[in-house]
Amino acid sequence: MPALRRIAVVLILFGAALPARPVAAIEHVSVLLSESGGAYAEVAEAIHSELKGFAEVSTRLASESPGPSRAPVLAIVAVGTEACEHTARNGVLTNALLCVLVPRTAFERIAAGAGERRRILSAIVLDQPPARQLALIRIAMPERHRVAVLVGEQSMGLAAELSGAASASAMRVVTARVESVPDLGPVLQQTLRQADVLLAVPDSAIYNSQTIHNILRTTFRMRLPMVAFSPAYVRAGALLAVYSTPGQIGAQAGRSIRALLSGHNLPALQFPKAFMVSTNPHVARSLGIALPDENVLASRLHLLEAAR
Amino acid sequence: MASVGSASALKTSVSGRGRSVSAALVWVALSIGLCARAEGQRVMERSFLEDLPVVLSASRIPQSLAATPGAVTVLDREFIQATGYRDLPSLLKLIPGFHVVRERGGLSHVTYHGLGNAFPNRMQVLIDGRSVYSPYFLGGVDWFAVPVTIDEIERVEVLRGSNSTNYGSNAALGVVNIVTHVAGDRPGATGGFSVGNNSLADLELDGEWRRGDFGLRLNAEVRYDDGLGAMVDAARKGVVTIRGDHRLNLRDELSFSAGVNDSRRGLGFAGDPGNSNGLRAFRGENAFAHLRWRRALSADEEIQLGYYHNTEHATEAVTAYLPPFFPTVPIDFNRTSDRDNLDFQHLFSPTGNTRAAWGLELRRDVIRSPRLFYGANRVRQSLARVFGNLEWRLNSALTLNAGAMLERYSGRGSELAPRIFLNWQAMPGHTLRIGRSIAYRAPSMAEENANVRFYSNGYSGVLLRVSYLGTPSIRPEKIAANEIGYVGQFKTWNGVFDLRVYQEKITDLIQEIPTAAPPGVIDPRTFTFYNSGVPVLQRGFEWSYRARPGPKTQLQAGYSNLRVHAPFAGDVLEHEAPRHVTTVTWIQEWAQRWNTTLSVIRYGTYEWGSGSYHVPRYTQLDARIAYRFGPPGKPSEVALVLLDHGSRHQEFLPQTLLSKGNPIPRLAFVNLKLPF
Repeated sequence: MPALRRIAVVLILFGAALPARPVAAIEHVSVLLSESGGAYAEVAEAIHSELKGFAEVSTRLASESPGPSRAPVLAIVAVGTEACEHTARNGVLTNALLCVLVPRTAFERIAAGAGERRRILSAIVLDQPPARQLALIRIAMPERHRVAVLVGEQSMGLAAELSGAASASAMRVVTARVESVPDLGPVLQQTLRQADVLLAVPDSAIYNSQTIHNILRTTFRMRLPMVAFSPAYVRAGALLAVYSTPGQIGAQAGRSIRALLSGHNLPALQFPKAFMVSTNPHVARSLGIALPDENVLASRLHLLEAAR
Repeated sequence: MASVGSASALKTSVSGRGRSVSAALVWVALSIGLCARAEGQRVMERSFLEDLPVVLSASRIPQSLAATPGAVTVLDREFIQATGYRDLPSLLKLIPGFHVVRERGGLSHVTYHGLGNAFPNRMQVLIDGRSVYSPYFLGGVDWFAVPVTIDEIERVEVLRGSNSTNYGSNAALGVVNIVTHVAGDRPGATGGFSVGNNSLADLELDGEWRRGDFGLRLNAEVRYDDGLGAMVDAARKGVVTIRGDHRLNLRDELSFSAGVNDSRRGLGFAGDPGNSNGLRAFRGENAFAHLRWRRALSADEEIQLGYYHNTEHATEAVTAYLPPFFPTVPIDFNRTSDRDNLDFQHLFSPTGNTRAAWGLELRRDVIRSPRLFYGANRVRQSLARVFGNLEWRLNSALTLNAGAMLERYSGRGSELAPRIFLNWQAMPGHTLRIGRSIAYRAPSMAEENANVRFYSNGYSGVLLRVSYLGTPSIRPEKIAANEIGYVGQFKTWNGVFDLRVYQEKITDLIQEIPTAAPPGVIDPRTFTFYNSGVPVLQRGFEWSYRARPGPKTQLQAGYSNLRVHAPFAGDVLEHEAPRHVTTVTWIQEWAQRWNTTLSVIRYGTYEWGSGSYHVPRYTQLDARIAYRFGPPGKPSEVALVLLDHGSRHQEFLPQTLLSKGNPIPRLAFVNLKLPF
């Protein structure tokens, strides 16, 4: 039946050429990356798949110059601190600039210096909401409610917020300021003496590949667990971490852009909605902590947040 | 005369090349220093995204892979367990640049970059900082007799290169640092056993307890198999180790470990008359005790004090015959060697951007071997070392590692082993390193003072042969290495790629040479040792790649390309290691309960044993499939392990077996692990 087959082919081709939505509704969204590949690419991929059929998405490196001028973009998603900063500084015509894969402190610094463009600036930060981190500690180790937090210049702003969240959940946060790296040891020991768990916050002056070994050794020696913000720390010896993957953050960014398309405004700052929990059972055993499985912890945390 | 002329011409050209390489190193170092300041700490999301691999042994300062002065491969417990390997040499075969030759059951030769002989002796092997490099005969490590069980190993850090700067002579080509896990980390007890073909039978026991601040661990293993088949080489060993860790207070930790390895295996060949290397039973009893104290003075300052004692005792006896007058000649090689070692180390941070480690080590070795040192009851050697290392973070992108060790053996001059490395983080996740090091391989006591005599009645009667005479004036071998390296950490698949491009120049290589036999001996074959006047030049590159494409997948691959230039003694050293080696390991967890591991090892051709046998290229295939059952907190596991499937091959072939061959048997065994 060659004729029938030909008709079928024509129909299929025609069908494929039909846009899912009327052509007029297609908007341009530009995704600008700090670096190619890796987590940045994962975010871009998730945005693409969320916006498929809703908007035309183009992706390039933030440092590359844009191609020949096209229709103005509805929104820019800047992936990474560098892309966010670059785009916030260089006025590209757009209605909204959403920064993702940025730490909260970095975004707040960029927003403070953005002047007039602050109006269109928003972010989905990498940091987990303080209440979520504290809730995880409560679920995983109900008997521990004194939380040590070390802050430096980068992370100073987080201390007050953690303390606020703690008082709402009958926990106590012991904050200590680390002025310099040599300071770190004594401050850590002193703070840990008043606490029963260490909550690491993203501050590269305090927590980095140079210091992490000694910090973990000190916590082991004092038989206290560390709760961290990335799975790498859990592999290195932290007890557990709550974090969001680049894919989860990209999907949330895609959904935010869809909300924007349907007329909603973007909140100035969003925390990641989806998250994962990672645990180190060896560390748990050696510290004598009966730790539930990471999937159990994550689903309890989800339930708790849903109930709010 | 012609040969002398060509040798000195080569020497000139080699040193000339060395200079040009150093000049290039300086130039590159300067130019990267100039452009490094552009890189700030702006890309803060790295805190969330970066991995934190930590290397402990390369400079004695905990460092990330990117800041390490040298190429390091780390094998962790999870990886080691997943391979199903029963011994350390099998694991080391997966490390690029390493060359492993299985001679027989319980006897493997391991070198980094070849230059092997029957006793490879340029690699240092440490267990929790304790050297298991043997002082006996030509030195080296008897891998089968090392008192450590596979189960207790937490990680193996392998420095691909030289590190006399930290570990003294004999850390000349390759340093294997085995770290056992802290006692009480995994409370509970597990028993395991394996049965398979080739009479394979293994038993493993692991028990751990913790009470408050005190942890105790006991490990035991028994391994038996029939060896390689063509030889009389059934091998059996029993190992028991114990470790206790006690946290005295917030600052002090005390760690004690002890262990014993009792091994028996067949050695020697059914050979010609007068052969002192005839078939014989070997029994080795190696034991150790190790005490370490660590005090943390602050988060970045600590001191460590350690003492250990190693004992190696071996018995092996053979009856040789020298017709017509000496139908039975009793020969034994019984010996005992004892090592006492005291070490101190101080780790601190002199300024905000520098960290330093310095320390001292004192050692005494005593050997009792009437065969090796005729007429001497004991031979002693003492050693003193002082070392220092500085890690200086010049800015956020540049790290300088500089260090040196000054070492002095009794009765000899001092040697200085410096090292300098500059690591430049060109972009986040991409680091280039460039460096130069000087390392030594100290002559063994036998190379200095051997007097190996064979008499018709053991140690009396007619003097039949003097096989070795030491050379008291022998100098240490010196290894000058230049390297350029790259470490890339990739988000894609969570991969880490490490490349090492090197040139290693070995001067004063210690070689055997026939010498005049003392007058009146029946068999006049006598050897002594000398320093080769022609340097050996090793050039090549190797890379390793490790990735975790997903939470249930691990990949490890490596490749080594080695060229050895040793234009003397018939060029036999040039082909002792394969030019190309490729390895790939894939570990996959399928569902909650299934795990598989597949390793492929591809060796190019080589000629082991001073060119006596040509080993054709071969592909080795190892696999493991495991099923976990029982409660998740206390899982049991049953595994099927297949080793040496792939092309049928041999790795070592002595003249006496030329017609018969010495193939590695294909092993298949089942391992069952049960908690109790």
